[in-house]
Amino acid sequence: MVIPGIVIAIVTFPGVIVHELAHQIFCYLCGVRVIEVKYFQIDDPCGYVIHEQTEDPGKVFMIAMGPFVINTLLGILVILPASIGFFAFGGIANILDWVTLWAGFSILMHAFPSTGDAKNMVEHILKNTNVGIITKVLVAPFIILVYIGALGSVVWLDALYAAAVAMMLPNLLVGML
Amino acid sequence: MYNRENDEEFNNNEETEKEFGEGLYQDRDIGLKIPVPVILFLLAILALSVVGLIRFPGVFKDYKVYKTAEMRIENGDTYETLNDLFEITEKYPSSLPIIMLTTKKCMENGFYDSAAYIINTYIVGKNLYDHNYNLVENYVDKLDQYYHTLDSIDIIFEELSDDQMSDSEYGDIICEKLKGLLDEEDLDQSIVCYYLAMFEEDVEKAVEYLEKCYDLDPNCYDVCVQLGVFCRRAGDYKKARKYTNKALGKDRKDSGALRALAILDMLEGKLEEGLINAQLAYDSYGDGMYVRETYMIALHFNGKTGEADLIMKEINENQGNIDEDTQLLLDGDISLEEYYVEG
Repeated sequence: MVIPGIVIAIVTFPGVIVHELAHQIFCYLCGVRVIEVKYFQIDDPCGYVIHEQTEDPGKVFMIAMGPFVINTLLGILVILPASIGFFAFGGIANILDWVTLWAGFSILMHAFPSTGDAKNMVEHILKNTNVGIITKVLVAPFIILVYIGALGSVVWLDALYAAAVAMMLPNLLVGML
Repeated sequence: MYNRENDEEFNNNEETEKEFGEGLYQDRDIGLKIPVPVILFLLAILALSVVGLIRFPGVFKDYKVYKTAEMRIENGDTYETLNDLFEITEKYPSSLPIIMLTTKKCMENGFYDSAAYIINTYIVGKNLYDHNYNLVENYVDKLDQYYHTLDSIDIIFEELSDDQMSDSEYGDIICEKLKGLLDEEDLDQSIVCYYLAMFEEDVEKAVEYLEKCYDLDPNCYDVCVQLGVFCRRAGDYKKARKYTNKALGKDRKDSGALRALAILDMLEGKLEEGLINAQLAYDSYGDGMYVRETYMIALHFNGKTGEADLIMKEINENQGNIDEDTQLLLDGDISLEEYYVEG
């Protein structure tokens, strides 16, 4: 089913906000100047972060991958109790669970870095002559995965990721604890 | 979402350059400055996270009960697991997966009254998909037969309730009337055989009835425990141990089975093992039938007379005085074999 991306972004706006915030946080942690942040807008793109350039491949990588880390962790924190109720127990009892499920799912759905983030890594890591071959080899798979994730969103790969995290994590915890 | 510094169109846009201005653009660094609405939004998300963290341990514990129920029952924790499933069924009365699992496990393990309660309380009135609907229909058919059989047996007891006769005469008449139910195809024959065994005076015939009950339904009441007891009374220790171990395979904390095993151990001269199993039975359910007596006897025969006296006191407080045969055993006037084995 094809639904305009902007509609999905509006419905899952918490995820967009957290995604941009994640970029901003990692810029700050890496000491990279942040010039402007648009947390959410009804436009394309629905959010962005403008920051100074950096040639440090580590910083480029961390800033690009920041949303994957923060959106995933925060999404898990928010969605876990409601996800057990919804996915495992077959229902949601109250409005708080619905809000939690929606917010957590939205945040998880926007965990994937964008093609813009991937292009950034290509420009400043793969095409950077000052970066060693080992670093390029290590980073390349991540860039491929980012492209797959970003492009896969057209076929709901981001939603599948969110559902998988929400459903699999309780099972993993049961196995561990 | 992306670094606009890589966007040539953006960088070349005159309007954008005017917007930032050379000096302003060069010095601008908002760092981690976050607008108030976004902060409020984050606080709301964090509040949800905190609420989630507070609720999660309880929900996760219930989920663990649900996910590990099958495995725990296979490992011999049947009663405790069914208890836990009951608790989460009451906690999540609209959760069909939980309700169906609890019903299924109750039916598979012979807890028919519990299954009937769950169906009546939580399933009736719910919309079910074909698979679940067919399952529940089968369960209801089985339960209908179960209760029809119990009703038929109850009628026999009620008919004799006003009659004055000795226990032996009563038992004989009950047996004859129950035998009349053996030909009725619409009755659960495993239950009829179980009741026949309970009232049959001849211990070997009782064992036959119980074995027939077991063949028809291995989960009928506590048929394995009863086979352990009756086979022991008949002097067949090997068979008694076989069925007692089956009962413990279903639930390793079954006080009746542990007690039966303790008696077998003592009869075979393994007094220490007998005491261990008697204590396990006592720890599992001290109020169980004859569990205290067996524990007291095991303590006595292991030379722990002080502890045996304490248990004797407990028996006197909870159940009244011990019977004559038990006193004879403790006084050494009869042996364990004479006490526990008939004939």
